[in-house]
Amino acid sequence: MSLCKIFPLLALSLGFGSTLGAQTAVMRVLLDQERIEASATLSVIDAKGTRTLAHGFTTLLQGDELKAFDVPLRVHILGSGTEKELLSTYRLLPKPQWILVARRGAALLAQGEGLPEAQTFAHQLQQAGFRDRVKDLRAYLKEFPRALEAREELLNQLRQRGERTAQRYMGVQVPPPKERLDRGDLAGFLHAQDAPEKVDLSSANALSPVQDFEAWGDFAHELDFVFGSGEWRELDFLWLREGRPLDTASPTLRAVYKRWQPSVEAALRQEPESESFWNLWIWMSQAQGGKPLGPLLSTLSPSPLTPKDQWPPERVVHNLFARARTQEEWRTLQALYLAKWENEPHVLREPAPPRPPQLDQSQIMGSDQALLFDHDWTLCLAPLLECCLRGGDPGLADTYLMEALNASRWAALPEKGAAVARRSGHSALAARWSAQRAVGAH
Amino acid sequence: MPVPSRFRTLALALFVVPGCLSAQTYITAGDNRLSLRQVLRFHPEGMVLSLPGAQGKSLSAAIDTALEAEPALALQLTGQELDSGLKAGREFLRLRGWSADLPHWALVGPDQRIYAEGTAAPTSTQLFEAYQQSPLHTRAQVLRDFLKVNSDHLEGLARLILETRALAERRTELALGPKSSADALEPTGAKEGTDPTKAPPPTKASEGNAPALLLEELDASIWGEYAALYQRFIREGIWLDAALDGAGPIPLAGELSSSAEHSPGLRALASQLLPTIEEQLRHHPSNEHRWQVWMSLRAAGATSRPSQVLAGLRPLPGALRWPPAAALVAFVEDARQRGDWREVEPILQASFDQTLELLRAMESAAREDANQGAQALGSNGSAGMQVQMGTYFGFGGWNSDVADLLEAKMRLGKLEEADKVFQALWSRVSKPATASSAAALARACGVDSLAQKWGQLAR
Repeated sequence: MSLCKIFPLLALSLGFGSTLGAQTAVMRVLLDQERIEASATLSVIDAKGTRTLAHGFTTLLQGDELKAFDVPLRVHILGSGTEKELLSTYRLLPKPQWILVARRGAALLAQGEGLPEAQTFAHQLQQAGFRDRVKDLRAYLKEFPRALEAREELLNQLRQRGERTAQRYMGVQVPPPKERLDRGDLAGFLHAQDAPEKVDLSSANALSPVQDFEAWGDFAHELDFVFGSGEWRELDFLWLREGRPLDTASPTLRAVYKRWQPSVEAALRQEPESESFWNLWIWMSQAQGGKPLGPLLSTLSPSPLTPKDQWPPERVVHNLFARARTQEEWRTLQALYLAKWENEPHVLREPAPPRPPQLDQSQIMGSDQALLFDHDWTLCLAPLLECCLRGGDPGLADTYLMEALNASRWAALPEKGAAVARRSGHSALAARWSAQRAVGAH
Repeated sequence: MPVPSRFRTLALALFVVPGCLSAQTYITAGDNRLSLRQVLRFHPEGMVLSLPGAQGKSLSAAIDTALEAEPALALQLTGQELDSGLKAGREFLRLRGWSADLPHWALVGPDQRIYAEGTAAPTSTQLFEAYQQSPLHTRAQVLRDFLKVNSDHLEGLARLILETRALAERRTELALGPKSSADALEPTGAKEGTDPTKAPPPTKASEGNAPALLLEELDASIWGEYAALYQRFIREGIWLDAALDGAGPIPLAGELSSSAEHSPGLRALASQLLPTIEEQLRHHPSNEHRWQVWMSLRAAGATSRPSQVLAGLRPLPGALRWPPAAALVAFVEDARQRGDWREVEPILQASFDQTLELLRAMESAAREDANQGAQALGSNGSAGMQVQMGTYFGFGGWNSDVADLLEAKMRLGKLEEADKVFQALWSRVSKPATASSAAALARACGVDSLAQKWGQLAR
C-alpha cells in the first residue's frame, strides 16, 4: 500500500482515538464488501465457553453435502453484547440458536436451535438462493476463458474447499485470519495480514495420497493452469492474505510450488519491488519448509534510483522477518535492517535537538513523541535487535540499544529491549537492559 | 471484485496505519535531525542546494527558474533551499567552510562533493555546463545505462518511462505556453542536451476547443523516446503486472501522459494501442487500473465508449453490480463528453444506493463495536457511547459520486428525484458548504429552482 494513500487517512484513523482497537465489526463490514454477493448470512448465537453450536456449524459446512456453498458465518456469543441487535430485530430469546438472514431485505429465511441435518440445511441454502459457485464459475470461464476475475474467484473457492477438506482429514481446525475479527482480536488479524501465522501441524494426521489429492487436486490443477498460461502475474491471490497455512502438509501443493517458484523468482528479477510477487515467493517457501533468502537476494537488483536501504520494500522485509526461522535468515535480515537503521533518519537514533522556534508543529507527523518512538521501535530497532540476537551477535544488539537509549532518552526503551532479549533466549542481557535507566528520560 | 478494492485499501489503511508508515517518515524536511546525507539519499543524480544569506536573501526562486528553463531543464534536477539553523544547513555550510552571511548555492553529488557553487544564482546554461563537466548522470541516463545491461528489468523501464514523461510534459508546456496563447510561445530545445535555440515554430494554431498541437519535428524530439518506451510497455503487456496494491512505478507508467493530446505522435499511438488495451480490459473489467489506462488513451483522442468495451460481456455470477464499479468514472466521463446522461444515471443511482447500504452496515457495526467497548469498560451498553459515522470515509457526505448523480438527474430533468437525493444527504450532513456546493451545481445545470432552494439552506 503506497504511503500517498495512507497519509490522507492518518488523521481520519486518529479520529477514532481510543476506540480504534475495538473496530473489529467495522473492519469486517469493510472487508466483506469485496465478496461476491452471498444470498444470505448464517448467524450463530452461541453460549460462552464451549461454543458447541459454532463448532458444529464449522464442521457441518466442511462436509461433502455443503462444501459447494460459500456461506458467510457470523458467530455471536451470548452476553457479549454483539447479539443484542439480532435478538431484538428478530425477536429471539437469548439462548443458543442459528438464523439464516437474506442479504437483501434482511428477511429471516430459516432458523433453529440445534445443529440441522446436512441435507436439510443444504436444501435451506438452495432455497435461500445459494448455488454451487465453482460450477457457476467454471461455466462462466468456458464462455470467457480469459476472465481474470472469474479465475481469481475460482481459485479462491477451490482453495477454501481444499482447506475445509484438508482440515477434516487432518483432524485440525486452523482459523483463517478473518476469524480473529469474530473474537475481537483486531491486532491478531492485522498481524496475519502481513505474515500468516506459523502453524504447528505436528499433531495433525498425515494426509494419505488419496486424501491429499481429494483436498488439493482441483486447486493445484488450477494453479498449474494459471502458472502455465502466465496469467498468474495479473491475479490477486486472496489466500496469501486470508488462507489457512496448511500447505506444508500437502505433497501435492509442495510439488506445485516447487515447480513454479522459479517463475516467481524470474518475475522478481524483473520487478524486485513487487510486493505481490514477494508475498507469493514467501508463501511458496514457507510451504516447502523454508527456502534460503540470501541466494535469491544475490540475484536481484532494484532499480538504480532506489536507495539500497529502501529495498526490499519495508512490508516485504517485515513479512520475511515474521517468518524467519534459521540463523542464516536472521543474519540476512540483520543486514537489511541495519541498512535501514544506518541510512534512514530515525527518531530513536538521532539526539533530540531543541526544536527551532520557527518550526511548524505540523511538520512533524503526530505530536506525541512517545508514539513516534514506538513506531520507530516497532518498525526498525526491535527487529534489528532480534535479528542480531537470534543471528548470534548479542554484542551488536547491545551497541544499538545503548546508542538508541543515549540518543533518545526514551524511558520505555530498556524494558522493551529486555522483552526482545527474553523472547530471543538472552535472559542475562534482558536483565541487564531491564536495569538500564535512560539519563534525563522522557 | 464487485466493489472496488479501494474499500479494502481503505479498511486496511485505517487500521494498519502505524504498521505502514515507514520509519523514515518520522523525520521530515523541517526536522533538525535531518542530515545532509539524508537530504541527498534519494538523488543519485545530485541536487542544487542553496542557503539564504544572513539578511534573508534567497537564491531559491532564481535557481528554480534556471532549472525549469532550457538547457538545464534536460537535467531534471531538484533544487532545495536549506536552513542554516537546521542540521542539514549547518552541514552544507561546513562543506566548504562558508560563512552564513552571504547566500550560497552548490551543485552537490550524492557523496556530498561540490561540482559548482556560487553566491549569486546561476543561469540555466551555467548549471547545464557545470553538470556536463561533472561526473554526475541524470536520472534518465542512469536508468538508460542500467537498462542496457538489464534489458528485462521492468521496474527500471517503468521508471525511465516516468522520467522521460516528466521532461516531455514540461517541454510541451513550455512549447505551448500558458493556455496555448500564441504570444507566449517560446522556442524550446530539441533533444536532451542539444542546442535549444534553433527550434522551429512549435505549434499549429488551435481551432475552437481542439488542443494545440506540436509540430511534427518538435513533437518527435520531445516525445519520441517516451512514445517508443510506452509502446513497448503496452505491447509486451508489462502494464498488466500493475502491483495489486497500486504501489510502485508500473501502475504509474501504465497511464499515457496527460499531455498526450498535444502530441500528434502520441495521439496516433493512442489510437493504435486502444484495441490492445480494450482486449485486456475486457479480460478484467472490474480492474480500476485498466480503466484508468483506457481513459488516458481516450483523453489523447482515441475514440471509444465504455459500453462498447463491455459489449458482449456478462457480469460474473453473483456480482453485485454491472457495469462494474470500476467502470463508473469512465461512464460518467463519457456522459459528460457526449452531453447524454441517460445511460449513466441508473449506474450512478446503483452506486449511490450501494454506498448508502454500506454506510448503514458500518453504522450498525460501529454500534456493535461501541457495545463491546462499553462492556470492556464496564459501563452500561452503548448508552454512553456516541456512534456517529457521519461522513467518515468521505462517502456519507458531499463528494463527486453524489455530485455526478445530482447532475445526471438535473440534466435529465428529474428534478424531484434530484431533490430527494439531496434531502437524504442533507438529513445526514447539514453543512452550509454541502448546500452551497449543491446550489452551485444546480446553477451550472441551469436549474434555478433547485439552486434557490438548496442555496437558502447554505445561509
